[in-house]
Amino acid sequence: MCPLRNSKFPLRHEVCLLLVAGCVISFLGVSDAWTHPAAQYGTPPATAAARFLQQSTWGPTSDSISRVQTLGYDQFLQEQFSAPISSYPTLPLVPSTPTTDCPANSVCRRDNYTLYPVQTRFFTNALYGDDQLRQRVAFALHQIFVVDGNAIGQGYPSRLTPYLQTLDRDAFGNFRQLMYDITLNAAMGAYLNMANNNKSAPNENYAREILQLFTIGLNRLNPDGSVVQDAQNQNVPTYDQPTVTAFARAFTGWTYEAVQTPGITNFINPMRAVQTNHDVGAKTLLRGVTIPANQTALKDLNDALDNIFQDPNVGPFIGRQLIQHLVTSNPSPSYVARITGVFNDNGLGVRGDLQAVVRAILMDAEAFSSIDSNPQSGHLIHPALFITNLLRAFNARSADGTGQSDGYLDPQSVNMGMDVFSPPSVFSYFSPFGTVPGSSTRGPEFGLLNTSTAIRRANFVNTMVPPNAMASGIAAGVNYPFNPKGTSLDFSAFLPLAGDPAALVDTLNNLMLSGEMSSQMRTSIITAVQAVASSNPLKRVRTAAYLIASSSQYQVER
Amino acid sequence: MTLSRREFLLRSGCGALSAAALASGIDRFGLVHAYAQGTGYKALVCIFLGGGNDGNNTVVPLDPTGYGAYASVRSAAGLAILQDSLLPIKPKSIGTDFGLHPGLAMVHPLFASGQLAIVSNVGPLIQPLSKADYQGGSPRPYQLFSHSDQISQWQTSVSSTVSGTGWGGRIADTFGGGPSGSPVLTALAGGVFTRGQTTNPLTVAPAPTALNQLLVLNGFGTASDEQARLNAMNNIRSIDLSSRLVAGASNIMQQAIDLGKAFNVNPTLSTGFPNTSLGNQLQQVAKLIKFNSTASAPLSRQIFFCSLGGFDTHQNQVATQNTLLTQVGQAMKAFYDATVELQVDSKVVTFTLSDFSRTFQPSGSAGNTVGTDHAWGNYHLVMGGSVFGGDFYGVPGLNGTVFPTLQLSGPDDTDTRGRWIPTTSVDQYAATLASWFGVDATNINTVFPELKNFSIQRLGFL
Repeated sequence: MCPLRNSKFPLRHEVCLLLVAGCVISFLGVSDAWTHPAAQYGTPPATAAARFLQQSTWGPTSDSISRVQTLGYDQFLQEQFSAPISSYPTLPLVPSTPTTDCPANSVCRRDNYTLYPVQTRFFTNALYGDDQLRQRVAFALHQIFVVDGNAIGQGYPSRLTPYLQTLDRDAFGNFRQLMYDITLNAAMGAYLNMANNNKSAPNENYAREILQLFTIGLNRLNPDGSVVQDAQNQNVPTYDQPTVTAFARAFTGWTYEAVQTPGITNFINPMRAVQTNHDVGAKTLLRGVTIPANQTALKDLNDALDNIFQDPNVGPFIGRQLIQHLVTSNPSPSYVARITGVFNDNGLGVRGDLQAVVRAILMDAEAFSSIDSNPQSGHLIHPALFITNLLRAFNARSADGTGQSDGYLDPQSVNMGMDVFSPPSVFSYFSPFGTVPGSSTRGPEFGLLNTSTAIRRANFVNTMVPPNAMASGIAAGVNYPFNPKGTSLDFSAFLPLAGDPAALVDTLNNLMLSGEMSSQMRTSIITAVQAVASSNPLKRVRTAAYLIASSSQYQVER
Repeated sequence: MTLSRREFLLRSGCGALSAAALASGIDRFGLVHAYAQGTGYKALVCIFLGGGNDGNNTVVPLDPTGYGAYASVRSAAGLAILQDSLLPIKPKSIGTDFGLHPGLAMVHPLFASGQLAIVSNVGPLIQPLSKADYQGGSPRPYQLFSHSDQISQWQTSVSSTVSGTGWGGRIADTFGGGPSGSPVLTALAGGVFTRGQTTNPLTVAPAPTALNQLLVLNGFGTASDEQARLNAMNNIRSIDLSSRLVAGASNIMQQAIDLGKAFNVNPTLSTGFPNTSLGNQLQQVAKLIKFNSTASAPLSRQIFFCSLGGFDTHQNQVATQNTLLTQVGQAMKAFYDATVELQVDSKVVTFTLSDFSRTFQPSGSAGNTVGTDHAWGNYHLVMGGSVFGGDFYGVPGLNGTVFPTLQLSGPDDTDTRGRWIPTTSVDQYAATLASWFGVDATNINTVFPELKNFSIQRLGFL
């Protein structure tokens, strides 16, 4: 009966009952009462806190584990929901062609014509920001509502920041608001041709992708995420080509807002309607719903977005992907169904409350269930999350250790297959339907793991944690504008444990693997640590850290 | 011989062939058998044009009627390529000229010299499908006009349902692994094409990464404590495999380490390659072919998968497609030259795939807003010394040719915008390549489970 079989959880029976009760309460519509039971029973264990932080932040730290233990899960989430947004600063728009006082390889070019400012900001937000959960969710939403920052004109960071600000702002808001804000965002307008989509020749790009990728997907879904089958055991498409055409027409008439600076397209403000370019004919949308003729571009847009938003597919389609990004690649149907329920009604009769959805995903019994009970549990962490997990665990600093990392880490991520904010296509960095090679087990992030990138992951660890060298990390570049401060790790907190390899490994196990290291793995690492002379405590610590971070057991968060 | 004659007749969709042409076609079929039965080296090189390359501007008819139909739909928006900008080609078995996109200038001469063929109006199909069939609800590929699904159908050659394996991977399955455990299939880019039931591709970085630097773990010296760390790393990779995700990741790492040891030299080529995405991928393919030829136990079959994205030209198509096809043409020509240098030009066949073609009717009406939307049947290029080049191939449609009728709402259009219903299926295209490669008659229907739905199973370009 009880889905919770977590050997490391001290209160498992009570917790299980309460979690089930919590679900029931949630379904009964009292979502405010949906607090994690463990909060009522005192301090969460450090290992459980670490696992919770794997799912809700860019990587557990000693401090954040303490924070969860102090506040309990529910209050920790509450703190996260209300933390000030790190976000991205609005950058000045620049001319399409760099002026002569902004030459190649200059700081000016770097900051205005490459994604450097937003990519470094992404990593510094992830490493140091207080709004960890918001940044995690916003990045998940970026992977659903995809814009490639290098495909909206020379990667101008100023064009991308309003899009990133929107994701941050709406991450805990309502999904319908997110749909609206993204639809009229100028970067999205440029990327999927919503901008200047004209009634004389409607462009189907945005219409198709908002349906297929951003909201409902291709096939009719049950609330538990399974695909509806008709009497002939065939999938039931959610829409057909005439539907796409109708949405393309409904979305005609939008263009960039009036320029702020002559000659420079306005990517800061939402797009504006030009009614004369709008197709005012009637349109038949999803589920046969018709919107009448002679409406304004804005009314048609809102009617079209409402039509999508009300589709029963949105809950399972979006809920499942958010679970996959935060918790596990293979959620059970009942887990998806519970999240769909919260998406459909947050308990107060509100549909699309993302904060309630995120809370429900992280507080679900399945997110806390034993890793040993399910061979499909967890997910491979993607390169950016891999980088931040390792760096946060060891207090990432600048190369000289005196300040913060400069965040110039995207090249490391690119090396492992993920160019942050520049996915290869609207299908993002990897497909949510991807599988572990040779199996039917879902493993979306495996789309980025192959013989080449697997080696590069280990070599990234070696860059940051080289047991055979005293220096480590990414050097600051003297006279080189791209990595002015570099990045290094701080192992000082663990040096006192170097004389006791078992204690060292157990401590790192709690921090990096939420206490889930198998006894075989533990023995293996202790043996390797013992082979390092005790006179070299730093090499001992790094040896253990290398072996954990380079392992699949670490890169698959379970 | 019935089959050979029928196949040959397909070559251009032109029924009236001279006796001499027929005879030469039969000769060619004989060659196909010789290759299939031989044991010599062969390689297939797939170039995936991600996003959906617009075939309507890749190959354009130059006869007055054909070009007129083309210009009448595409000129007003500025999307039509001017007649004198197109690179003229004279297909052997067709009386009229065609033009290639000017971006393909580098491979254009290979058509006349006979190493480049074009397959016409090919796309995913479950079974032959006329417009009447289409409108009447006959089985059609799932989720038409969606990128991800048409990519999947092109790469899996399965159009009735989602397939977890690709046809490259399944061909590789029929050959098994190499003597040293090296997979038949090497990926320079990601795609389901490369996945088989048993085949896990070797994935490598493109040039300029040296072959002997492809898969090397950094940071391990010979000191005893570092060897102890290496031992521990190896051991950790072999445990905790009850988690399918951990096992999946560890298996990939194990494969990488095993194969990395094999790449002990970095061969060099005299042929220069353009320093572009596709150029660097194809350069690495050429180096891998050379490396294999000098290995102690070389593979007799290799399949390579490369990819170039950016073809989803909903807007700004004129400039974008020109840039991309120029890259394609330059990289393919360099690769062809490299196969000549390596003396494997008759043993390597390079071919293109893409999501879909694009609507004949433009979207957008002015300047850089002009582009095209997702469509279906497309033109594809096949290049190699063994290719019967200089001609078009495919299955004739109801108009008696392998070409779609260039008419909006016309007999080959799914709707009103010029999305051509293919007359040739991916299965037929792919099976032609696979048969040349040596997949036998028994395996061919396993590798291509929907091939049996088509009476014609080889297109004759090999």
